[in-house]
Order: sequence, then C-alpha cells, then structure tokens
Amino acid sequence: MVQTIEQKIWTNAALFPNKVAIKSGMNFVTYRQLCDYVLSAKNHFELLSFYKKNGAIIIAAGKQMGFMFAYFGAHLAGLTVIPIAVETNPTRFKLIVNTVNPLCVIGFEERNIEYPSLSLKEFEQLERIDSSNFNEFPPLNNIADILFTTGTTGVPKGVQLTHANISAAARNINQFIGNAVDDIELLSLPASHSFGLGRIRCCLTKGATLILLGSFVNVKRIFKIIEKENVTGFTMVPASWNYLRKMSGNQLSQYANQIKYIEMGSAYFSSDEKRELSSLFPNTRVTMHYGLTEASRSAFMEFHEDEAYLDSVGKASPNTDIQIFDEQGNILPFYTDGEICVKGEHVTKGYLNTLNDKTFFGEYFRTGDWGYKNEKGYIYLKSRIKELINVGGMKVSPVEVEEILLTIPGILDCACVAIPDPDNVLGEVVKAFIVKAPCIEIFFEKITEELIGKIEGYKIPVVYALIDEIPRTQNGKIQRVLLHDSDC
Amino acid sequence: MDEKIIDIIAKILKVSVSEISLGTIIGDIPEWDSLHHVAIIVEIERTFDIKFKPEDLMELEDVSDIITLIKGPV
Repeated sequence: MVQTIEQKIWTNAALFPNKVAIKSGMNFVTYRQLCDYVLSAKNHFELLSFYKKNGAIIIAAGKQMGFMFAYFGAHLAGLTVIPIAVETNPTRFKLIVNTVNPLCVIGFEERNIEYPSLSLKEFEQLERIDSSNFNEFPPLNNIADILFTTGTTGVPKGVQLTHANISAAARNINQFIGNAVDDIELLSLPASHSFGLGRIRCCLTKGATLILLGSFVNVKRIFKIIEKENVTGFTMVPASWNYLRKMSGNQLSQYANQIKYIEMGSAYFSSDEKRELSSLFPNTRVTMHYGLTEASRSAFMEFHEDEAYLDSVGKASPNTDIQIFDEQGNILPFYTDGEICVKGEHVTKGYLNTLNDKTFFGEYFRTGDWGYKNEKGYIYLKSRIKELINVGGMKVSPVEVEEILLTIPGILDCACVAIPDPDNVLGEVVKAFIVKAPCIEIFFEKITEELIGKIEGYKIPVVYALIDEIPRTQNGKIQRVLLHDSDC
Repeated sequence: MDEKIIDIIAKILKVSVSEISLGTIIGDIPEWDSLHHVAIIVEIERTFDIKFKPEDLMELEDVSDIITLIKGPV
C-alpha cells in the first residue's frame, strides 16, 4: 500500500529536517521548513470564506516556492488541484474554469476572473507553522489532481488522479531510475505537465534535493548550476537535448561522471539519438519513459541495458502491466498489432464528467496508441490513434488550431498536420493547409499575426500551404493521412 | 544592422520592437524561452548567411552580445 506524497515528505522531514528540499536561485527550504510552509498553506486555505472540503482550485503551476507550498497545502486541506500553465490561452482557460467551477484561482491575478483570485506570492509570505506533530493526510482514494490534456477534438479532457495514483507513479519511477536520497536534481521542465510535476513528486518523496530552473534558455547558467550545486540528475524532453546540442555542442557530457541519471520523455527520440546520448554518458543511467498523463511513465528503458531494443519504448515499468488488446477487448499474443493498454496503481480512475465506458478494457487503461509486444516484454509503438502534434513535447490539437484559423476572414476551410521541424529542433511543428475564398489574397504572415494572442506561440503554424480542397471522408472527417503524404 | 536584429527578435517573440533593447537579457521576458531562442538564432543565421559555433552561442547573455557576435563573422 502506498502512502500519500505529503506523508512521505513528512517522513523525510522527520529523518533529515535540515536537508535542503527545494532550491530556487538564492532561496531554499529544508524538508522541515517545506512541511511548515505547506501546513501554513493548508491552514490558509481552510480559513478562506469560500473554502469547502473536496472543492477544486486552479493553480498557475510554475517553478516558484509559492506553487510548491500551495500545491501540497491544498492537498492537505482536502482540495483537488488543477495545475495549469500560466500562459494558458484565454479560450482553454475559460473551458477549464467552466468545467471545474473552482473555489478560487491562484496565480492569475492579471486575468479578469469571476472567481476569487489569490496570488502565489501570498503563500510565500505566510508565517511558518511547526509541522513536526502533524499527521492528518488525505485519503488515498480522494482526487488529488485533475490534469487537463489536449483532447483530439480540441476540447480539454480532465484526467482525474487520486493520491494513490500520483504516489504509485512516483514510487514506480524512483524504483526504475534508482533514485536515492543523495540525488540533486535540476528541474527545467514545466511544472504544469505530467512529466515535470512527476519529477517534483519523485524527488521530494525520495528525500532528494530539487533545484528549480526558471528557464532553459541560458545554457551557460545551466552549466554553472550543474557545477556549483553538484547536480546528479537531469530531465529533458528531446527538444531540450536538441537545444543543448545547438547551443553548446557536447559540453553537457563534461559532467558525465557527475550525472548519475537522466530521464527523457514526452516525444519521439530516434534510436541513433539514444545511442549517441548513451555514448556521451557511459556511466549514467540514461532512461526514457513512455506514458500518458492518464498512466504516467507506464514503460521505461535504459539506453545501455536496452541497447538492442532502442527502437522500442521499453518494457512495462515496475508494478505495471502492459497488454495489447484487439478492438473487442481480447488480449493479443506477442508480435500482434493492437491497442496498448496499461494496468497499475498509477492509472487514472477516468476522465472528469465522462461516462468512461470506452476508457478501459477491464482494469486496463486504453492508451489510444497502436503497437505490439515481443516475448521479452518490449513494447513497440507503431502509430498514434490520436492525431496530436507534438511540438517539442507540447501537445497541440490540430482541431484547436483549425477552429481559430476558421475565424479569420478569407479562410474557407483548413486542416493542420504535424510535419518534421525544418530546423530539426522541436521534433514536430504545425503545418496548416488553407482553402481561401476566391478572389481574395491571403498572406500567411497576416494569418500568423491574427493567431498571436489567441493561441499559444508553439501552436501557431510554422508552414502554410494553399490547397483547393481539404480531403475528407464521407462523414466529413479530415483525412490527415492524405495531407501528410501531400507535397503541397 | 542593430535594428534588423531587434526586428527579427521582436517578430519571433511576437512582442513589440519597443520591448527589445540592446540591454535586454536573454530569457528576461517570458516569451524568450528556449524554443524561441533557437528560432531567433536560426533566423539570424538564415538572414545573414552565417553559422554560429556552439561555444559562441553559449556565451550570449543579452541582445548586444548577439549583435557583437554577428558583426564578427560578417
């Protein structure tokens, strides 16, 4: 039986109260101080006039101390947290707010919101409360977080994760990577996504030290921190690695003997790239996960150990079972293509406000990914049933971009697909096919200008093409495969 | 040349030119993240038909550093 993330942090505070838990620039908190501030945040929530146990709150998930205190404090107060990126576009923000009807919204003071609004700063300014005798942790089956994913229809889907789910995921990840109490991890990933948020939980439940890096942009600063803080762990999406390569060549490998582990994830990374990274870090555990927000890190591989299977997505993570199912829900034999399905304590109980009758085959979560398994348990991903575009690890729904494009005068129809990033950095970028109204000139630069502020920058198409007609099925569904094959 | 580089940076970050000065530090404004930084570098390389070395890119701290770096190889 797992314990809640908060209970584990409390245990760590009892074991080594003066150890640094989180460091951000010049600021840091020890494990005891972290618990004290989290307890203050809990009390702060409970004193608010609109507080209601089991209510939901939306928090701008960033790499500030205030977020850490508010996030864990909300859990202790029996609240469900919806962590979202501070730059979330207004349409998505409104959809999420309307879906969860939160008690309050934290970290979005600049937006005009009808709900009570709090700042993250106020959680940093709370008086510490002695937490050493506190022991009331939330029930494991309560919903801890709801993470909104990019649904293929463009409507965000709320993934409900219980305290047991998020704690089991952290346990599985730590077990595979081999995380230890003396780890010092540099976190550059966004805290609003499953990968980054998961790393925070992994480090703090293990009693490691987490160094928060606001931005990945300054490579010189990253190297300075790795050196100064004696960083032993590092996490990246493939786009981060491409960025480091572009900006600094192989210089990260000068820390090869210092860095004990690397975790990669969130986007495609070729076998050649895996081989190259593992050769630069011969003594490091270089790992990569396959997973979804709904079933975090369901499979793992280590580039040295799994050298012969680098074209797979690895094997089921510890305490996890992966099976391949046919469309009728039958388990398929090895080497037979079907839907990849996952079972484990880390798997979501289902989507918010959804019937969920098609979410599972029995206890197995249906990933929507297509592939097969070999006799050694390696999973091979063949295609995504879903059509999301993966821009440097950020998922883009083509439908969301298309809906905005169609509001621009002169655009009669459109369709967006993924294309390889021409600059070979982001993995994929968005390409838009546009059907324009007759006798009207369309300038792609003007389209880009129209999109600014309406959707996030990474969702804006990088390449445009004019087309006479968008290929559709008889039911009107866009045939994106034909567009992928098109030379337009 | 200074204006052209500032134009490129502002265009890629999708901010007003007035928000960018020679002293603007890379990463100081929220829009200037790693993804946009690469886009800026690639666009400058394309515009001026040059290729930066990784060791030079690593030393960049602000807009004036970018300009100085370009004036070198051009």
